Amino acid sequence: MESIEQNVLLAQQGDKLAFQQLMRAYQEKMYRMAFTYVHNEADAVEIVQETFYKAYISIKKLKEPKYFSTWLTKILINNALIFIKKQKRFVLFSEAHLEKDNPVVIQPEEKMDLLNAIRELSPKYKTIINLRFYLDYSQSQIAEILDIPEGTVKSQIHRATKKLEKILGEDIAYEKFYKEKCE
Amino acid sequence: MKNFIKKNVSDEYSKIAVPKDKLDKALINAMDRGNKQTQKRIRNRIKVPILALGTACMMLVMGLFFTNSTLADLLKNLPIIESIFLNRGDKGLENVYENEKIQVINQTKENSDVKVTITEAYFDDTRFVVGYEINLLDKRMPVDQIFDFISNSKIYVNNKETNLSFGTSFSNQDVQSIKGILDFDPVLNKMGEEFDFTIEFEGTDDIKGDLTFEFPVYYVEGYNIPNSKVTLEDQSGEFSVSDVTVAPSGIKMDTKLSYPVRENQEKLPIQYFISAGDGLWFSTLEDNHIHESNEYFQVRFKSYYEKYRLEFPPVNSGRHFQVIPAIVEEDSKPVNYPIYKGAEVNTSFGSFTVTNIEYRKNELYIELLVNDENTFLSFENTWLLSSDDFISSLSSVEKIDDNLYAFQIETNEEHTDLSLDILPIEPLEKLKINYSTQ
Repeated sequence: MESIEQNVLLAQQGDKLAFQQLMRAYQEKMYRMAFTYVHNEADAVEIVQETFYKAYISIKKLKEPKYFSTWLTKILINNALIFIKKQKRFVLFSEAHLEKDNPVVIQPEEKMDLLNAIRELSPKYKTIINLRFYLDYSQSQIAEILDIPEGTVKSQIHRATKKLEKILGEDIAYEKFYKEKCE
Repeated sequence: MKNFIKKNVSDEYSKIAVPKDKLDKALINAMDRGNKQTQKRIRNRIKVPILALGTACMMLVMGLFFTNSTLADLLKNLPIIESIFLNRGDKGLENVYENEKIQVINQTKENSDVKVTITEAYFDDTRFVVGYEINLLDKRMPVDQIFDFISNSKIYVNNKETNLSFGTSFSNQDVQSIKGILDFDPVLNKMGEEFDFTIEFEGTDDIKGDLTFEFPVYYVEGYNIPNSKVTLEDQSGEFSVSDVTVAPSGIKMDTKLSYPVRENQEKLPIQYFISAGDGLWFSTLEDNHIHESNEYFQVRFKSYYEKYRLEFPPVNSGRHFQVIPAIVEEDSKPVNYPIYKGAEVNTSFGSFTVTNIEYRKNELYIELLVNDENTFLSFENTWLLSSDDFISSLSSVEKIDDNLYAFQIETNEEHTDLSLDILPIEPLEKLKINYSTQ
């Protein structure tokens, strides 16, 4: 962690190699997170590239090197959300909309594993799941990244988890039904 | 369920194949784009006479300060035609070059793998910098491997091995020849006013080493501002600034808190703004947090350090600069101001008028006119939004005339409902510290 902070300080002073090392340290997780939003390589690379760019031109503005990871994650999430908004592949749900049950369409030939279940989530819940369970951020860190109160983070984690549970549950039910049908 | 997700999500995500080559390429592209953006910005709008006047003023001032006769003899060979210190966006080193304070080294050593040249050096109160060129003979390599070669070196000061840390920078992914600087921190390492410097490149598995360079380094004297001690009181005690030194490559200030810092007291809600900077960067002693903006140099410090030193490059305005403490509450939220052509924006720290907003090719251009020349403006904590979507920080805003500022950003779409989110800042005018370098 110390070397990350040292590299942040060096990068803030214009050290390009330090910046490259920082990005390479995080690029796999960034890419995988981006991929969960767009589900194709080219778009995910584009989101990560935009994240590299914004990080590069603004790293001097990072106030505290120890927050580099959350700062970078915040940029990535912003880029991913802007990207999918531009692509109009998703409509960002309002809070009210999210309260409703969104029927999930499962393709019969597609096994609904956790990754695919996450894919079915709205970008908002996807973000929460990514931050909490993939990047292992605390609720307070997530609150900082998303600029929402910790209480909201807690409730969103709960809702996202329930939503996932429902998707996976439906899958399990579907699999059972499918197997029975085949038999 | 949460445990199930936590347990399985990493495994599931690891199934997503990462195209490392494409990401590497994306990183280089992004950095290239960033470099172009930085160069491109509004810099060419800045009126040349203003720049020339500022530079002339700085040279005049610096010329009065630095009169080390030994150095004067050394510097006869200058200026270096193509100094490695230039074109790096490093205001401090550019100032060193313009004031002809670079120490020419030009030592070259080579073996069957590589030719290394130490081109120049510079040492003052704030920086010790060594310029180098590395030419691989008959092969190209990723910069990582060349960096390994550079970092696998031993450093000696007055023949005594030291663990001087340094940063270095260069570009290109796969190269045969690079130029760069080794940027040491003289403050941390107390190297004295004159010393023999030795660097021994030991080599790596990929590049042979055993190349040693040895040369004397001379201190370039700075100017200590007399009576620079200023004490501020807050609820806990006193905070003082003292020993302000102006050197060709930068300015340093020592600061001290008068009271022991409580463990649970993380920060004082005060930031310090140093005026009249221009694209500054910074270095710090200890873990302080100093941020640049184009017009004000912003400092937030952690109060659990009782002493620390602030360092920043020379201010281009020449003879004066100010340190302006301002309260920025940790939990303060930005205030939103809609902007349009002709909009008046009245913030907690000053007001300005939006004199122009227009789209030029692929750029959004915004011009701001400060209504009162004494207005204290900070764009460090200002963000541009469009219909509540974040577009950009405004920290790269540039001063293009006395009270006129401009900001531009690449964009392919015409944003609607533009607004600025501005963090409330309350400058403590009564505690304004003025330093004069005369």
